[in-house]
Amino acid sequence: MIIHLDKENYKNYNYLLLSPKEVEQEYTMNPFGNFLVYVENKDIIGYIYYSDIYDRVEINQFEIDSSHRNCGKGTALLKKLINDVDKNITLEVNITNKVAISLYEKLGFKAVSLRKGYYDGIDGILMERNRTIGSEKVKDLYILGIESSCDETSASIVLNGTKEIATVTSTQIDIHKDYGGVVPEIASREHIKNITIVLEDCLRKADMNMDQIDAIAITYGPGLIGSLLVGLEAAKTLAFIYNKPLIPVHHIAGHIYANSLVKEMKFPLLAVVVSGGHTELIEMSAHYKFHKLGGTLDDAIGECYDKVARIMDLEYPGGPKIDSLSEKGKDTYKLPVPLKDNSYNFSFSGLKSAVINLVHNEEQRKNPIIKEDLACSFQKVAVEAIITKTKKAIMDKGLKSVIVAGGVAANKGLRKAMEKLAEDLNVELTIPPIKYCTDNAAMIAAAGYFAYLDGRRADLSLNSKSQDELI
Amino acid sequence: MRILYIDTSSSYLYAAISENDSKIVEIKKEFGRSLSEEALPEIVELFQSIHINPADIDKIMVVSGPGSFTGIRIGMTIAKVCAWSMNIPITTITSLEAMNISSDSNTNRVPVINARRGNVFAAIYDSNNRQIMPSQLIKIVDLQQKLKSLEDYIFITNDDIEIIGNKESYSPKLQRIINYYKDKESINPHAVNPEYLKLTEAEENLI
Repeated sequence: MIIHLDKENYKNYNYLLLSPKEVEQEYTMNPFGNFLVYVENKDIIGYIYYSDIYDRVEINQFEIDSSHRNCGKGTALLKKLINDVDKNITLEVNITNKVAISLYEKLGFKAVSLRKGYYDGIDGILMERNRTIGSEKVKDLYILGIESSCDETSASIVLNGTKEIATVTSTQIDIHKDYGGVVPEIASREHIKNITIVLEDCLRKADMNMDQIDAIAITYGPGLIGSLLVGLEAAKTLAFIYNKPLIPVHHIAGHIYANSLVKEMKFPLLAVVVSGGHTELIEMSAHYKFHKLGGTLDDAIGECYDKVARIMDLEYPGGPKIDSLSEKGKDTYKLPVPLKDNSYNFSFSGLKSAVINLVHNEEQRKNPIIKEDLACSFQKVAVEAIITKTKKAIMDKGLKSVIVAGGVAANKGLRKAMEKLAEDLNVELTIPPIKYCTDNAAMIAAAGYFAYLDGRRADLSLNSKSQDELI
Repeated sequence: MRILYIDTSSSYLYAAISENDSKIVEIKKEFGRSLSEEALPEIVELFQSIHINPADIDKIMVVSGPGSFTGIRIGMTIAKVCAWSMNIPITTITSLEAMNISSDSNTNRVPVINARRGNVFAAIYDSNNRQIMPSQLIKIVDLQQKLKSLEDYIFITNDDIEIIGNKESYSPKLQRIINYYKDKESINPHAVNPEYLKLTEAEENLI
């Protein structure tokens, strides 16, 4: 980790390159002097000694221990300095030191003049980095996202809310299968087992370290409280240790922003959120401006799928199984289309009850249930409910862009129906690939970037919320 | 040698940074439901009070349970992430060990934690801290049966448990706990996990 060496406690470290005496000397001799150091296991393995002189900063010395070179540590150290001082920076470099010069150039330094024979007869170059370079162009932001709201432990690094650098997800589906659904206490126990492994794998996959991360985005809710807490405490602890901004992300905002990993989001848009816990229509006028048009009055669509699957004796998670069975079936069973009204709301508990009654009645009559056909009839009605209200919202609000989000966005029947609707109404449709539909941290990191630009921050007292409205 | 100690296994937060064998800053605070909100900020304050950074810690000691499942996970996640990300040695002790070491009684000691429905988490130690019965989930009646063979003993607990015998309340002596266990072998942070001593209800029903 990189820290500004405190004038009080500089003696607490092992010095590979300097000595505490030298530090003390510089501090007493140079009132402008400061040390920015790279610490690993209490060893100072690299440092920048710089003078902060009113409106500018001069780098006097910059050194990385020889056994720690060529792994981005020097870059990280210099980036940290650029970030923290936010001033014009000057330095001198030996003209033969090509590695250093290319590093400086990469970070926006330009040669200003030549100093003949500066280094024992070898020329030195005076380089300068203008502070406005950084502010003219929006700075690149690497966000680490962490998600643990249900049964996936996931970590991801995303650049500027759009480019996925690395994602690692540990899923517990096989563990919960035996219980026919997610068992909250078991989920929490799995999260704490996996959390550091997932984080380590993610950083390794990205070939990055925590110092190169600009902010940490965390799903604070809604979800299973015990599960949420593991990710939350991990995120807060990292934010504390590495002094990074902490960004609270609503799980549904995450699902919506999965689309940002696919294609630039154009506003105003309609977000159709369909998952195991949510069924919502959300209008967005700009990034991070959410307006809920309607939602489910009882069960979420994914919940309804899983419950119906259980009635049909399909293995958990049953939603995807209904989807694939329905492709092989015919629409022969009569089921009611739920909540045919003028609102943007949904209701799925009536549909679930209708399936229970239907199965029960057929059993009484000793008629075998044709699973493929029941799946087909159920899916047709469930999808129709979503499509009808989506169509109404698009037409009422005159929207030109629709995005689908949440686990049920992986449903092939729904995808097909959405594609047809978009074609009929001539609106642009985005549906994320399946890997971004289920719970993952890439979507949390993507949402985290736009939340960050929106100025959203949390302090270390951030708590998890099992329920919370998206605003 | 600076050791960070964290125990969130009960409704109290016990945390400390021990600078050496005699100098310590500590916090003992009852939290209940807001533990997740306040645990980390309180720990951060410990660091600030002695002007050190997380990287200045040499070892982490965390209580792994038994106790409140959610509570244990809060402290252990903080400890695990600290140890892993900064590559600091970490060791775990049980809440029952912490209770035993904190006692001044010169007899056999029986730390007990309420595990509901007539059960307790318990262990038995002699006055020299030797373990007579390892940490376990046990029915109160079975525990009392086991204790019959001992001449004298005292229960250590802060819970309201219907149990027959002399009792003393648990008042943690953090410096003493840290000193006693400071050389305990450290483990890979990834392998640091709570000791629940109890399956989840769903798992019990499945058996």
